[in-house]
Amino acid sequence: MKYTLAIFLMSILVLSSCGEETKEPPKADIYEVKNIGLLSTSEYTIGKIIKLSDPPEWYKVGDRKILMSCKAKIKAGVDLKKIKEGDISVNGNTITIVLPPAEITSFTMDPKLTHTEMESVSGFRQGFSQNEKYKYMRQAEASIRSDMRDTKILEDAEDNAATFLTDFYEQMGYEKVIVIHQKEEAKDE
Amino acid sequence: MNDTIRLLKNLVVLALVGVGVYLVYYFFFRDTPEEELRIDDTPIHIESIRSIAEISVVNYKDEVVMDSVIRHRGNSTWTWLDSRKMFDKYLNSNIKRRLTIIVRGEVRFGVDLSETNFKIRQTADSIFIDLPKPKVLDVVVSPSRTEVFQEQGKWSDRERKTLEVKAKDKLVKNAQQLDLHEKTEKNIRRLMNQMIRTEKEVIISFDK
Repeated sequence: MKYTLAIFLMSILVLSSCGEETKEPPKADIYEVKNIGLLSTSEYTIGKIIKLSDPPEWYKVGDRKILMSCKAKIKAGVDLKKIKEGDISVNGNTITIVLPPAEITSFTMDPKLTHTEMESVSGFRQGFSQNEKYKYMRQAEASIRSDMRDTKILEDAEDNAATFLTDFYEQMGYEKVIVIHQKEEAKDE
Repeated sequence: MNDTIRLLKNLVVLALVGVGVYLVYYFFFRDTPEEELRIDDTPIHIESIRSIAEISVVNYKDEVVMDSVIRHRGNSTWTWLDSRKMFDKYLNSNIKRRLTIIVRGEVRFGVDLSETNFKIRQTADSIFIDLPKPKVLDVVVSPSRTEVFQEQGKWSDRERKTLEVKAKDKLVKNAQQLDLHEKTEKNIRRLMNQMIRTEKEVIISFDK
């Protein structure tokens, strides 16, 4: 009887105590402070629905589905530090400025704006962990970064930069402001 | 002697049952972590477009580690019947759930001129530029820069978001401790002087 009890207790311990010991959190890396010179002139807020189905397989009983929504705030503008000595020229009351090509200056996905809209788990499947949800959010981020090239964010940024600088130099007393945008050099494949 | 043999037999049977249960779990129920599921290709939608004029001159890059630990409460006698709780109590510092995330982010300092809130005045020999007070313009964080270091137990979205918001706040706090506002003002002065080609003296001041 006592052996049976001992085996019963051991079997419970073996089968249900496969816990994972917690790890101590790592130390954070050292910070970095850098001088930049970005003029952001256009801000887009882009939304995306994250849809994923994890269907049953012969070795998986039940399926899982998730629907999430996320938003990214993207700013574009010009890097003023890329303006070289000869890019600004003054001729009487006329100033000419050659601006570098517009670029994405910041890309933020606010965690507050990411929501799980629907989650469905059936059979013997486990629910979605936060780690898995991060993986899907990373895929959504990559997709937004890729798809935003089809938007007019860079053109808007160039137009707005020209408007801002024209206003700025006119307030300084220049009668004519000419803003020229450098074209982005073709990159080798 | 007979008892010992019976015990050994039972232990062998127990080991075989254990291996069998593990194999069934491994092949049929485990969600394989290496299996990367792909999200469906859904279109993006532009929710808003805004014209801005923000000059960022200082970029602070850092990483913060946020850790959230939930421990078992009380000292119930039921613990002895729950081997998972026993494991947590004696081998895992009584930790029930734990979520640790590493957030890498950037804090940008500069001036926001979106409301055309700057003034330029001129005299015969000087140009005066009044600019708004420098501030934090962006806290750049994204899922690609966030890592789940460990996740034990079940965590809700609300709990994860709370941790992320704390991480963002910590990034800003760490940056502000370095007193980067002074550096920001200095860099804006330098940038403005590069942009303005004049013989006159350029005097830049900031709102207090």
